[in-house]
Amino acid sequence: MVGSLLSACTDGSASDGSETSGATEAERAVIRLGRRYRADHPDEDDRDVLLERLGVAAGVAGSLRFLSTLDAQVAEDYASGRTVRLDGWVLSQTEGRAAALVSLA
Amino acid sequence: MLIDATELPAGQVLRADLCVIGAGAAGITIARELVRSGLDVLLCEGGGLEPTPGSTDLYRGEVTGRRFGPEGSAELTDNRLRYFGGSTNHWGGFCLPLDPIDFERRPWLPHSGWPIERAVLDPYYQRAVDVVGLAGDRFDWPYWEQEHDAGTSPIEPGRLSAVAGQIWPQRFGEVYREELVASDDVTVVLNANATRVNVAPESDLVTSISLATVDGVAFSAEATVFVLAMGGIENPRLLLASNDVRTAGVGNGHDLVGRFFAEHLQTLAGFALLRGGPDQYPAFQAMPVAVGEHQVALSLVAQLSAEVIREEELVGAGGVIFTEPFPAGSVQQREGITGADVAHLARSVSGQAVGTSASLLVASEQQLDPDSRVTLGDDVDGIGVPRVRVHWKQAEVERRSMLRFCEVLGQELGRAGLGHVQLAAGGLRPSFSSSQSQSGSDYELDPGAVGGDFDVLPGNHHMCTTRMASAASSGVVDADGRVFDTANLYVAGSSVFSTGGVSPPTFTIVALAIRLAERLRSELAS
Repeated sequence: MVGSLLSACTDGSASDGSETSGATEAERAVIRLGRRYRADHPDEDDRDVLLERLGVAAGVAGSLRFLSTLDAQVAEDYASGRTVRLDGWVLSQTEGRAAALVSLA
Repeated sequence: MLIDATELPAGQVLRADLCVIGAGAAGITIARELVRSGLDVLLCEGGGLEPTPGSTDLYRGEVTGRRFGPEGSAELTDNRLRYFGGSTNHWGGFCLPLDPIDFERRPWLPHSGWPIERAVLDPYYQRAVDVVGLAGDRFDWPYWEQEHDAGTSPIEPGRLSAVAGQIWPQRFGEVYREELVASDDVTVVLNANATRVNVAPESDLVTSISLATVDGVAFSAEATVFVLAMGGIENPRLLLASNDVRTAGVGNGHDLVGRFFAEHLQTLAGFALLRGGPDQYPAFQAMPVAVGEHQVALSLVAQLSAEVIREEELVGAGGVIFTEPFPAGSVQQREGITGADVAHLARSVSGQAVGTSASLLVASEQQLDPDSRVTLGDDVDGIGVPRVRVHWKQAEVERRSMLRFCEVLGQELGRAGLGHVQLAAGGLRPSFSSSQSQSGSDYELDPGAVGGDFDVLPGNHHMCTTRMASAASSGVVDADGRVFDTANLYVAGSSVFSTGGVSPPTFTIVALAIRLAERLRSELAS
C-alpha cells in the first residue's frame, strides 16, 4: 500500500551511503528528518546540546557514516520506550537527535 | 425433526422441555449439546434456510449516535443474518478467547468486570474448539511457531503479547443442520419469529413465547425453560417489547436491558516499513495450518499487554500487520516526513534496506457506557414488534488505545531492528478516484491530521446489552445467564458479555453456550 512512499529508496541505486546522487538523496532525507526534529524540539535546536545528549564527540558527528555507530543505542531506545513521533513516524530519540545533528552540519 | 412454521395452523401450541429462540452460533450449540439428553428441545429460527427480504426486513430499525455505515445504508440489516445459522453464515471466522484481564474489574473503566473469571471458561473454550472446527486450543503464538513452523514473531512478552488467531468460518447452519434434523430430541422450527415473552402476573416464570411467521400467522411455544439466543440487538429488543405485563419489559426491573451496547472498533491505523522482503515475514500473512482434519489460517495478532493496559489505564487494543496491500491501492503523502525519508534513515543506521511495506489493521474494545443502548423505536415491523433503535456511543480512550498500540508496536519493531511504524489514523483520506486525483493515488495521507476523532469501522459484533453481572443492579443476567427476575428464562450470545474485550466474540459465544447447555441439562434433569 505504501509502495509509492518507498519508491525513492528501494530501487537499489539510492541510499547506499556512497558519494553518488543516491547518497545525496539519503543526506537530504536525513536532513529533512533532522529539521523536523529540531522544529518539534526547540530546546534541542543546538549542536552542543545534541552532542551532549547523544554522548558523542564533535569530531565524529555530522555525516551519514556517523549514524551507523548508533545502532545499539537506537535499539536500546526502542526497548526502553524512548521514542518520538515525527509526522506520525515512531522514531527512537537517538535517531531524531542524530538526524538533527546531521541537519546542523 | 424439522418444522416449517408456515405450514402450521394459526394458534398452534408447540411444547417442549426447553425452547431456544434463535439458531445462530449460540442456539445451535445449545441444541447440539442436548442431543441424546432425553430432553425435548425446540430450536426456533426466525428465518428459513436462506435469507428472504421479508425476514430480513424485520431487522430494520433506526440508528442514532455513531453510524455503522454511510448514512442511508442498510446499517442494521447488512451486519447480521436472519436465517438458519444466523450470522455464522457470513462471519469471517476469526477466533480468539477473551483474555484474563477482560474479566477483571478495571477501576478506570466504569462497569468493567465479569462475575466469573477466565478460568471458569477454560474447559468450555477447549470444547468449543471442535464445535467451531479449530486446529487446537492453543492461541499463544510461540506454540505455533515452535510446533508448526508458523514463522517468527518479533513480539517479545512485555508491553505486547503475541497471540495466534485461528481463522475458520464455520457455517453452523450448513454443518450442523443434518445432525439436528435427524435428532429425536431436537425440533427445528423455521420461520418462527418471536414476538413476545409471556409472563404471568405476580410470577417470576415465563409461560410461553409468542411466535409468528412473516405473514403474521401466530402460534406459540410452551416450555419449562426458555433461552433467548437471537443476538446482541434482538435479545434486548424482544425483552423490551414484552411489556404487556411487566411494563418496562421482561428482565428490565433496573432499566438495564439494552444498555451498554458495545462493538469492536476497527481501523487502518498505520503503516510499517520493514527490513528485507515480504518472504522474511511469514507470520504477517495468514498461514494455513492443518491439525488432524481441521485446517485453519493462523494470524499473528499483537495486543497491548495487561501490564500496559493497567499502567496507562487503557482499553484492550491489538492488531495485525499485513504485508499484503490492504486495502488495495497506493498512498500519497504530500507533506512532511515520508516513508522514503525514514527508509534512508534506517539504511544509514542499520545498513539494511527497507524492502517491505505493511499496513496495520487495529481494533479496540469499548468502554461501557449506559447511554450506548438499544431501545424500541416508534414504528412496528410487519409482525407487530416495535422496531429497534440503536444509539451507539464511543469514547476517546478507545482511539487513544489504538494509537498507543501502534506506537508500542513501532517500539517493538524498532527494538528488534525490523522497521518503523507510522501512525496514520485520522490523517488518511480516500482520493476522489485514482483517475481524478492529482496524485493518481487512491489515498492521501496528511500526517498533521493524525489522531483526533478518526473514522472507525464497526466489527459487527453486538455485545453487552443483557450483560452478565453479580447483582441485578448492575446487569440483566446472572453468572449462569439466567435473567435475574425470571427463574426460567436464560439469555445466550454476546449480549451477555459483561465487557466486550478485543477478541472477536464467536468463540466465546460458543464456549458460553456449551456452559449454559451443561447447566440446563442439569436443571431440567432435576
